Amino acid sequence: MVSACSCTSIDSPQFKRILEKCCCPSFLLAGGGPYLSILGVVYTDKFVVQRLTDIKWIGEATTHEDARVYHLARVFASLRLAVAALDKYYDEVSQDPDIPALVFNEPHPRFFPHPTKYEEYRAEANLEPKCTEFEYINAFRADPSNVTFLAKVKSSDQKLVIKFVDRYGVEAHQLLADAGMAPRLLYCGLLDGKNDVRNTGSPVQGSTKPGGLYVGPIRMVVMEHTEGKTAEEESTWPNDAREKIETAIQKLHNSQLVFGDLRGPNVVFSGGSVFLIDFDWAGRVNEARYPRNLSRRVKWPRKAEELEMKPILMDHDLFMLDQLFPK
Amino acid sequence: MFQEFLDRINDPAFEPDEEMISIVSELMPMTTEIHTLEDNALTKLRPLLTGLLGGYLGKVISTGSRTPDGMISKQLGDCIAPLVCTEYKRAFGEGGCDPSTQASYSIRGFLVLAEVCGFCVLLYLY
Repeated sequence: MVSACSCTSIDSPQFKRILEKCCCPSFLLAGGGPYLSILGVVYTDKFVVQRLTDIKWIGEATTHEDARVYHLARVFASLRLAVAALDKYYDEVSQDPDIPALVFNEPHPRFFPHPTKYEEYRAEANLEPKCTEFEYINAFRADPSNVTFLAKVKSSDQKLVIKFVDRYGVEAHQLLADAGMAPRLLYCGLLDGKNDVRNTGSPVQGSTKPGGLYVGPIRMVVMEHTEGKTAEEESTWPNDAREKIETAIQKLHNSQLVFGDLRGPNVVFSGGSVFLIDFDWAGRVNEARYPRNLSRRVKWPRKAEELEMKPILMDHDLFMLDQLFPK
Repeated sequence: MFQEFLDRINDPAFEPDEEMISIVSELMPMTTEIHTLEDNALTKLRPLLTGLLGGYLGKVISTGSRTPDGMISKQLGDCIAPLVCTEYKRAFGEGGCDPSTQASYSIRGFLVLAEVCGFCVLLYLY
């Protein structure tokens, strides 16, 4: 029983202080009887809960349970270390003088993803890695599925686009960026900003399973921000827009690559240049596939349900090109 | 830390120590029992989870309608930060609610809605 308490409102300055510093990450253990699941929680501008494990059977079912005891102990041992890391995180964040005050309608780190630095990829292996720190400015879309953010390099005014992806056509992006037909790709790799997928022996590759399913770590993509408007936003398109995009698509096809998602939001007009963006689906012919849950509102080369998890063909790119830029 | 948690589970070289194995060995038969009262189950579960997670799993006292069954928290001066919240039922599905959804609402209630009166680290007697 409770012998005494003094009520403290969550709205009091004492509670607000930690909520104003960070997104209050925590773990949830939820279960009933011999079942338990582990979840992760953050509180940004919305409350986000993600299932970290399946619902685990934690009971005893037979007289031979050594393996289950061992596997379950591994899960709890891992959780224990994660909770200790969380404890340390709160110590650091509560004393960090660099976290700015929370100001209404101003960007603040607690609303954005935690990765804030990357080492720019350099093709020459003997160059020293150069770490760049950035701060987020805004989300590109104000909906819960947004994974793309506008950011700024801390030491300059250079703007960046930071994107979080699972599958990504890094080869296609690199090819078109080298040809000036896509924004310069600065980093694509683990969230620590240190392991670019293009480095030899990188552990970031993940693997592609039947149906084109990607199994591997979530990755961060950092690219230069291109000032301009998308073909969807811009009412007057350059006369040579089709020609330039056709050249870009042809360049991909000549290298046995496909783009897959050639729609207005993924074409940017910037000065006299035309860029392709969003290489999430791009990849090698016969390997790149459409994702699950294709939009039913877009006119694809075939019905959405017929294309989901099926290979992206070069003809599909040409169909989408003709649809976007009719001859 | 969420990713670190998952990475360790997926790392075949990661080994639990004997203390963890011993507590899990107690936890498994305890959760297999059918308990007559949820509070009885929680009374047995909390010390086991305290041992497994390395922090005191206390009961939350709140004026809110939804509060977690237990919480490991961190005191930061006069602030409280939640590390782990638990929601546990006698049987999965009891009460017609997925406990993971209930747990989500509980911590949301803790952070943004409820008036939290305190933690039973010292005050609550079982």
